[in-house]
Amino acid sequence: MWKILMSRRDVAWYEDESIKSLYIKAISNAWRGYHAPIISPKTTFVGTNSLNDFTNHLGAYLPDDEKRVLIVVDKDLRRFGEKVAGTLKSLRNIDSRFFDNVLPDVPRDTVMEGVKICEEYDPKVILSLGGGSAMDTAKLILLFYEKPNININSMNAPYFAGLRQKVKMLAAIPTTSGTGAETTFISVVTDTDRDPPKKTEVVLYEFCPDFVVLDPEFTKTMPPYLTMGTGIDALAHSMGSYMLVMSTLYSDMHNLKAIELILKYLPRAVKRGNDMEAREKMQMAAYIAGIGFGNVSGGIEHALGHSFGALFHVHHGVCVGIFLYASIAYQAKVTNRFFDLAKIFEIKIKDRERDEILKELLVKLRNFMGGINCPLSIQDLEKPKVSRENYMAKMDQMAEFAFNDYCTLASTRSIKRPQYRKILEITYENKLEDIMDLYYM
Amino acid sequence: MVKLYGYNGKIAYIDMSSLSIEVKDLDPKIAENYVGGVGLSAKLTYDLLSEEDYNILKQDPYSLINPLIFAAGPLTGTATPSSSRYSVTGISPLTGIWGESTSGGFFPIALKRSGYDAIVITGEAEKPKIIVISDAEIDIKDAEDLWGKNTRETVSDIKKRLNDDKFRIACIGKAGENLVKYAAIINDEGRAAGRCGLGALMGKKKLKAIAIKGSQPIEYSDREELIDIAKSTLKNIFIPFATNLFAHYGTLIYTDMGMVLGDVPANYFTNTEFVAEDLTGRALKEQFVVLKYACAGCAIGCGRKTLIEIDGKDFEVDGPEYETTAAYGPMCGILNFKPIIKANHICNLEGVDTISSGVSISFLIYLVENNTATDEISKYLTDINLEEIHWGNEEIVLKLLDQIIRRQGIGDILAEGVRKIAEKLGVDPNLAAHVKGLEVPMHDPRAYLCQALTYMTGCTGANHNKGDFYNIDGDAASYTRIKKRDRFTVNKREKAVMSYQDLTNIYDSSVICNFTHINDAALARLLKASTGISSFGNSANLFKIGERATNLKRLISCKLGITRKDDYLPKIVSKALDTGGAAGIAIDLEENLKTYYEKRGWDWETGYPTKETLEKLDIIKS
Repeated sequence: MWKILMSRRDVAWYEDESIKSLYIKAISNAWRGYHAPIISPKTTFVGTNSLNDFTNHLGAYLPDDEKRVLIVVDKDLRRFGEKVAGTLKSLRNIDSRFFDNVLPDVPRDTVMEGVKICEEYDPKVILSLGGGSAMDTAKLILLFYEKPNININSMNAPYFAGLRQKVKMLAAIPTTSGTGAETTFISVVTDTDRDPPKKTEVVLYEFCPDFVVLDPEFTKTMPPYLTMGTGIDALAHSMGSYMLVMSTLYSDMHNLKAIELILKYLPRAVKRGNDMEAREKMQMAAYIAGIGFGNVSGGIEHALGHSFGALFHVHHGVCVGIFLYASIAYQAKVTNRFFDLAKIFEIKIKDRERDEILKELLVKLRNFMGGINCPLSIQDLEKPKVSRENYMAKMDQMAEFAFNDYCTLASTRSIKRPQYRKILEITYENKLEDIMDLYYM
Repeated sequence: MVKLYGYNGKIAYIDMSSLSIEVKDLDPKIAENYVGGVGLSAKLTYDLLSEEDYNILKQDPYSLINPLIFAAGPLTGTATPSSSRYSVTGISPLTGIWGESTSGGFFPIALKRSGYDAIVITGEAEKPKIIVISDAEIDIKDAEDLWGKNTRETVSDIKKRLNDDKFRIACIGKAGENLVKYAAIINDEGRAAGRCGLGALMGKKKLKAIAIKGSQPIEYSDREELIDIAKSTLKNIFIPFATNLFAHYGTLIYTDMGMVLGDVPANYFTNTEFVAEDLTGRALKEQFVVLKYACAGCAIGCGRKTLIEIDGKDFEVDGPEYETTAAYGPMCGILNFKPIIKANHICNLEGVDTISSGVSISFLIYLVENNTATDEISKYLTDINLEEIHWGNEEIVLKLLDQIIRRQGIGDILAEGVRKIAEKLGVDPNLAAHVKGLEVPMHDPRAYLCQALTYMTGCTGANHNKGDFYNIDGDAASYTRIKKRDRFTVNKREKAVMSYQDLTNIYDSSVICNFTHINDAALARLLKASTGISSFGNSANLFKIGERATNLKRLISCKLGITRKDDYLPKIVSKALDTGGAAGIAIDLEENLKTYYEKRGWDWETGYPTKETLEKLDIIKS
């Protein structure tokens, strides 16, 4: 088995038929009792003083001749980067340099620009500031700087590349509350070496940041739609991964608490961006949802969300939210894990039929998402609008993409192209009775 | 006489009718050609039976001539990992053809050290007896007082009577006494030689138990070499991930992973999707105190002992393992452990094959749920109402099991197995899930098509251990000649199916546990070190020996009436399902079967191995 895992491939690990076949066994709960490492950031600084805490820590940790930090940020958030650089310098005389060409979908060639800066600057810390793309870029700069010849296709957990030989630590400051990338050991890169370029998920335990700064001030300026979208992303992380029997006690406790926090604080954060208590709680919810799903996997709502999002360029969080109903209903046929989700929504479980419980859960989830102006179906989308004709025309392609997505591997219920197609069909309108049919089929 | 290493060199023939015992030498040539265990037993059976005997057995498998053979092999009880294993064979009361089963525990070592390589039992005693073998001394003792006792009571009483705890005992419960067609032989309390109903054959012979205390020395050809190879083999058996998981959670590791693959049948093979998470090895440990059980000398330890309260009393019960859990769980619409554990315990106590009994009960529920033959079924119901028979009725499932054991009411029909159930109730034979009369086990043939071809062509019928191809295509085992491919691909793999069936014969002839998946090269070295027989050292020759056993068993079954038409999977297990991990897969392997026949050298018209094949394999003289 080890030979299969480690063999060099031209395709990503989750596209390899041998790995796919093995993965079905790895999602069993017996495997969880045999191999279930817990990966999470070493130290996380929380609260409005967290940037100072982090800086002081870094100052004590780095010798004077190694006080060099590469700040990875996109151009829009450069102003936040300047604030961080200023704090590092003023508080502990830590030097910094910027790589501010972070782009959505993380093209590999832009990552290599960051690597080039590392070769000149020799940073001892790589600090990402932003959302998922900034953190993914930082992780990949670390990888390619230290292992320039590595084949990303031959990497999947458990895998150790032997990083942190040149760079001593990876740090992250999230400016959104949703991706959870500040806690995860996965990074998405668009492999521009492949023709056509392909989005590839690279999994490496050493991608998990050493330090995380959760300062709600960085999330305060998020507009309501982004607050809603990223918050729903966190909700989909925790609810989607909780539906997987691949879950562990560790992931369960994170996912369940995250859902509870999101249900309470996301509406407040969407309604008033300056509700700093809600911002702080949502930052924490996204962080623990990240640990929850990061230590398991995204569910089929993520496979579908990735697939639909790639073709229609809708916000990732909104995509996965729209497909969350189908994901829960489809898998509920073979797992009772949705009972725990229902309990958080204050739904009675005892002496009730499974389908009744499921239906009530879906209704309450819909009410929650509707209450924060999240589109509930594809036809509800405004940014951008997606016509039925255009959507249906891309059905086969979406089903194919979803089937080949790494999140498909962890599904609790066997799912192939025809089932994905069925889900995609009904999600255009997302009628409750159609969603329930996924449970009955 | 050539000296035989690794063997006792003796075979005991016991006639229960005359209560006579005869001991013969093991012919070294037979050892070289058939190894031991099932291979040796097939040869001894073939040599015992005349053409006329076959005609008699066709009419009545319980005929006096039917030899029930307990056998060990040259690796049994050696340093070879997981080698405390024995075989039991005979003409199956359930299928009417060649029947075999193997079992572990501690009894196999006692058998190996008994002074005999095989014990061949024919005839039928007038009154219940037990056979006691103590250091090669054979005694047949009265056992009327044991008749009607369960297997635990039997073991305990025999040990008391013999005043010696060191005896290891294989026995039957009430199911065997009452000639339930799929009665099992239980040894060491919870280890079962379950398949093919050989417990019923034992019951018919009025043989309640065999008790053995053995300390006869076995001389090995190269003891040090045997130990060295065994040690290096031990490291390798933990390479497949499944072996490690077996050690942690037993065979129940498979319930949830198999469910996703569409390999765990539910609701009588009409579904493969159900809530599996509460029926896994881990769930068992979460819900109960579970202790690990290992057969003698086994480093894997896939067995389990579960502590459970039944009717206010605490019991330590064996298992349940995967096959039982699936057969009494999702197959009957039951998705919690308690009734499954109870059913399993009753099956162990009374000696019942959990697979065949679970499938038979599930068949009845399926018929009633589909409103098929309900008038006919109603005629046989006692103490059960028709409307009580539905998926998930735990109480009724346990009641049906009880009626099967006592052959009471509808239980008398269910005790015949699904083929006969369909006949007696007058329903479509394609609804009866069996091959050659043996119930399809808990690996759905639609999930692994090479497993389907293995079932179809299996010498005993549908048996998941006589070529566990689900392990090959499921990443749990691999051999030079037998490699993993896409699980829905059979084309150009017919030879691999044959090779695996043949290799399984070597496991069951050696006799060792096939969960070790020791590769053929290591197996060859082990056999040679044990016996000194140089031809064993060549793994290509081992496959030939396995092929010989396959063909001899096939020949016996053909003489008992098997034809090519019996190499068939009924529609209930071959039509495509709409959902699940094997959705859309329909089994139509006619062309593959043709190729299989060609490669086997079997006659397409008659199903017999051709004369050339039999001559080539030295089964008959040219």
